[in-house]
Amino acid sequence: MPPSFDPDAALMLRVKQGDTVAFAELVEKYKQPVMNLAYRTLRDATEAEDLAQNVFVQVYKSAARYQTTAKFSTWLFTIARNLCLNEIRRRSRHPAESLDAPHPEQEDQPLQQFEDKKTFSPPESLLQGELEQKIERALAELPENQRSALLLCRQDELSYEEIAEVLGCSLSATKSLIHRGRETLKERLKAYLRSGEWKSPE
Amino acid sequence: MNEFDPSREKSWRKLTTAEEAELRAWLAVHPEARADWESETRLTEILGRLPDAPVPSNFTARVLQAVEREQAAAGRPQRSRRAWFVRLLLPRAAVAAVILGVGILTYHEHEATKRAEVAQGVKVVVGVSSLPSPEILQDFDTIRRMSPTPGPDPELIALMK
Repeated sequence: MPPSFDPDAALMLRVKQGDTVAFAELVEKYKQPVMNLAYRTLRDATEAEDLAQNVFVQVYKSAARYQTTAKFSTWLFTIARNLCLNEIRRRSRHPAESLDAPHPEQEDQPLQQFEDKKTFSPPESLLQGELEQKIERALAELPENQRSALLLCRQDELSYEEIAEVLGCSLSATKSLIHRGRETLKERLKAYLRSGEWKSPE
Repeated sequence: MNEFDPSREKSWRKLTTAEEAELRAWLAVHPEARADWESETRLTEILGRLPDAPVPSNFTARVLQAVEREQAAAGRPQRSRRAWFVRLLLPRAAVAAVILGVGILTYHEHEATKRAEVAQGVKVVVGVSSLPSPEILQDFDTIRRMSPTPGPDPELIALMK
């Protein structure tokens, strides 16, 4: 996307000049999707927050290298995913139990209690909570590339071509990752998907 | 033929109102695909409804602080590199220069002494008026190669005493 049509690229041009107001604007806009990706990759709220913060610091430090020919969000999510992968590698080298990670005896507990802004009647709320828990677990058990592909696809921010760029693979490989991830989720959530009982009144 | 593209990836993202209408029309003609489509669109809806991860209200402020810290840290190495040069490298360089100077002076002195000794030797050689003719030495090697000379005769030495 040419920079004239990408408002984020225009903001990045200002960041290149050292404009911290423009930078703060970008952080405000993307903090939630970056946190979502980091949290669902690392499954640890504190580490996800540190990583998301580091993503934006990297963005600021690398602003001079940013090419306006690239869409900002593609560049941002590439940095975010690379840092997530580094963290996964670091964990595999130095395995340590995270305080926030669920213990085997707590398997039925949700990963993290989120504030739910929507209001449900108790049975729907219970069903919704149960489903969230199941889907979070099913997502966590997917291979990293399938999970990242699904999460990036979920955000509607990136096109399939841009997701492929973030993942560093071809368009067909990206679609295949999404398809396989979805098939696994469908299998695990079969009961809910069939009944549709989880749906809340909108 | 309906214009709606029934390719699977369409169902991976939230459909627009127009796409939904097209989908309904397409499914009316292809009822066998309804169950599959419903399952796909339900999954998309579930994924879309997952709650956001919590973000602290001061997240942006913390990022800006972290950036400031990084900038400060990036400036520090230059200063510390200069300080390191002044504190450590400069005195060592001065000591090395002194040692080198002393070494060069000693070497020059040694060379001058050697040159004086050579000059003295040349002076002695120049002072010799004439050397014996080399012909005197023409049988020197032959004599040296002859059978070893007999050892000293102790009896003769005793008589001579």
